[in-house]
Amino acid sequence: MTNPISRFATVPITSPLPPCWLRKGPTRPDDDSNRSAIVWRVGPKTHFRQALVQTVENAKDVVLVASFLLADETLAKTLIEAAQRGVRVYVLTASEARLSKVVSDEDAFDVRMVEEHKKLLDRLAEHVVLRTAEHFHAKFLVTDPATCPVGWISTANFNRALEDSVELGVKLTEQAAVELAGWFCNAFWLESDRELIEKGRLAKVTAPPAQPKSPSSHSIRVTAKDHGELRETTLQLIRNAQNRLVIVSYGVQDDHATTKAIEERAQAGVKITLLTRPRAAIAAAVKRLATAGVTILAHDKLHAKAILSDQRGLVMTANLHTVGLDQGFEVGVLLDDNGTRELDDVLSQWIQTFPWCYATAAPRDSHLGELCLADLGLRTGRRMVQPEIVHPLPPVVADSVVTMEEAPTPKWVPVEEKETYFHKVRYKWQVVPPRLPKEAKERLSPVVDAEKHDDGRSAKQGKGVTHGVPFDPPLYDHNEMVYVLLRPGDNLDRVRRVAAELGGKVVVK
Amino acid sequence: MIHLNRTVTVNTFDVQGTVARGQDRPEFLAVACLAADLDRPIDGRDITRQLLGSLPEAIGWRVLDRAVTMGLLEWDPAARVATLSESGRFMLEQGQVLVPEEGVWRFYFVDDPLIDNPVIHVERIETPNAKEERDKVYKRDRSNPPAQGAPIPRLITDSIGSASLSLVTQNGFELRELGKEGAMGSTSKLQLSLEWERDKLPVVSLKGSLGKPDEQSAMNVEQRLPMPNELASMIYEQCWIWLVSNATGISERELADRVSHAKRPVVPTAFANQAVESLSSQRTNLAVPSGKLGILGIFDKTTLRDLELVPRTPDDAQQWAEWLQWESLDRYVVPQSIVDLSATVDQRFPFHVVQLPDHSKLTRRALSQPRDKTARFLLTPYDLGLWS
Repeated sequence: MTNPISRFATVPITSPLPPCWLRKGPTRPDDDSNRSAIVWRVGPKTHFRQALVQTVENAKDVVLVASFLLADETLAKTLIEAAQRGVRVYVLTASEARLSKVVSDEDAFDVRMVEEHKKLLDRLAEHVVLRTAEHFHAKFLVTDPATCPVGWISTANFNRALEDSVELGVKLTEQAAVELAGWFCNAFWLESDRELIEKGRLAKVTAPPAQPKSPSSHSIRVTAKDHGELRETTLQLIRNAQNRLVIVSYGVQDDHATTKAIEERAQAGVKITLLTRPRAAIAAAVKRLATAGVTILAHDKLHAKAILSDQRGLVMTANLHTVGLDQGFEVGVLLDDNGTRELDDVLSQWIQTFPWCYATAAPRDSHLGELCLADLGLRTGRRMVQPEIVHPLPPVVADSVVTMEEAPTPKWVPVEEKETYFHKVRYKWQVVPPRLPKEAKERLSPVVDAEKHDDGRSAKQGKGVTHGVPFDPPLYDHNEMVYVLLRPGDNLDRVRRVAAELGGKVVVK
Repeated sequence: MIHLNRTVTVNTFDVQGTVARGQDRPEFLAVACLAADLDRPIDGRDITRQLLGSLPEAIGWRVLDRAVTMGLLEWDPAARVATLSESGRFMLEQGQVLVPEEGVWRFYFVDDPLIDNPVIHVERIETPNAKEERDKVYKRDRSNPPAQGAPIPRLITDSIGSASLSLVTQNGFELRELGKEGAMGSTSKLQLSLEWERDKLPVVSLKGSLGKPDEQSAMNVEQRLPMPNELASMIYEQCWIWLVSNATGISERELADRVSHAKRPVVPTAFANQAVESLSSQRTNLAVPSGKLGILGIFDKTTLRDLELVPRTPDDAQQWAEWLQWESLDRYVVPQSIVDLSATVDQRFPFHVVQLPDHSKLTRRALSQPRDKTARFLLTPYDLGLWS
């Protein structure tokens, strides 16, 4: 009866999860096993890279390559071989200054990628004509535009992204390839800063000997100096969406016109899905869009950029960002019906398989397993959600041995959730019997003992020694409170009665 | 600019004789000056009236006689007047009167086509018994003098009566009379140089040291020589042609024709014979071996610098112009820039008609060798939309 009593209480945590990405499935490389005619995917089978390499191998006269980063060994080797057999190879890529910035700003790029890029430029130096600028971000390939045009737009840089990222490639029509070649020429002559003169040496470019013709734009859309058709087309597609809109973008800028347009369409009731990558940089934008009702899914390696607006598709190299749609050198292609259908297929599969789903404030009990905090990104933001955490509380001391069952519940202490979130907290504590205060003084019953003569005879009645005798059960006093001590073996009922009579508390030692 | 050099040998010859050497005698220079100023024959009266003030006329005639003896004037006995002699003119120019001295003289002389006055210096030397020798000479029957040694070189004897300047002291002297024989002495070497700039007069100079260099008596020579007669009638181009012909093997006639046609010195050359730098600049330095330069004698090897090159044949001109056109492509070009470039190249071949490839031909060439560093300047704008 004096043993501590164990108590439990399960308390649900009612606060929602913070804005985060909830894992809905495993992260897998994209599936590029099925080859398409127009819209290609990137994956372990490397079909897209092979197609690019094949295109360069088939080139007879001219190869035009644009890529923000250029470090694919196979493609580089093919470009060099093309140059060695007499094909003229021209390259546009980002400047070193731009690459240095990007390593510190973006989680998709690391120092090793930039170093690989620089080494490749050195190898290409004697074989190609190469120019750079800080704002070159487009990625495409065109061969023989004057005689037998073949062209590709890629959302992937021409490096290992061709294998292990989630990207899109588009096989262009001949007309689109020619248009794109025209834009390449425009950027080469009018927007480049430096030209690779020899290995390790870039020289400032001079004015061209003549002005290039202004390129046409039938299906190609471009962001370039004095050209903003890509932005206008992107906005138009978003604003014209009536039923369904799927946006794919690595980057989404909170205060950009496109984000506002998406928000407006969502609020108007259009079903919108945004496919992106969990990154801290887009936290504000996705929160805003999710609040407006946009379904936001993500893949660890997504880098693609595309728009599917009802029945119209656009694949481009620009993110939904000022640097991309308003500034820079970016390209996009408006797909025909077949291309749009293929894009639709790809995006539908992505919607089915993407592992992450954004939630602004998911109820605790709506998710179990991994999540990624939206303001941190995948590198540092991964957390777990588990059903319950057991949290011990300090013991509760009963008021009296006889009222242990009625001891009050303790105050719930909030649980700190650092690496893990929980649906509920299971508090546990013990109710323990009260102890006799150390300062309590035993109450004694006065008893007079008769005096005894030296020979052991009792003295006359009324004459004797007074001394105290403990009560049974022992009684103590402290701070105007009576304590009745329950000893092992004592009858609890009896002790209870005594305590009740005295108005005291039953305690143990 | 032509720079030619050679070493000349200066011989010495010692012989007794009379040499007039320049002295400051202003009183006699005044007589020469009078004759020059009046520009007519003069007599004693002229001298008395112009120079002697109130002295008697006889003094004037004596002065005239003395001036004739000193060689300042030449006497015409028939007209009984005297005119300024060549020596007199010389003395007037030098500001010194040549006063004859008898003695034993050492003549320094050279035999060089560019040195008109072979005796370049004379100095009086005193032999141990010079006075006795002189007395013997005066006492001897001059029609039958005893033998003394080597005959006097003709270069010296031919100088008798010609006044000239010592290249050592810059003083004038004139050989008046020489003995029959003398003795050859030591030799020295001087450097003769000829420098000739186009459209200017040539400059001949001598430099070096007469006598043994370690002797204190060594005399320094560093003098510009008077214009040699051999050069006076020669023109720069003639000398230049000799040199270039010697260096290149091209005939003087061909060179003369080319120079005449170009109106300036030009060296015709085959395109294949020149280095890249010369082809680009159309100029070169030409090493000329040692050789005889016509009447001017043999010179050491030299270098003609910064010569203008021209194509030797029309084929050379065509090859050269095409080469220049291709090599001048050092930036991205469009058809119009090729037209402009071709005009510039064409102007560099004013003596030939060249047909430079147009942009189509150049493009074909570039396409046949796309990895050529120059081809890039054509093909890049061609491929990237600037040519259409």
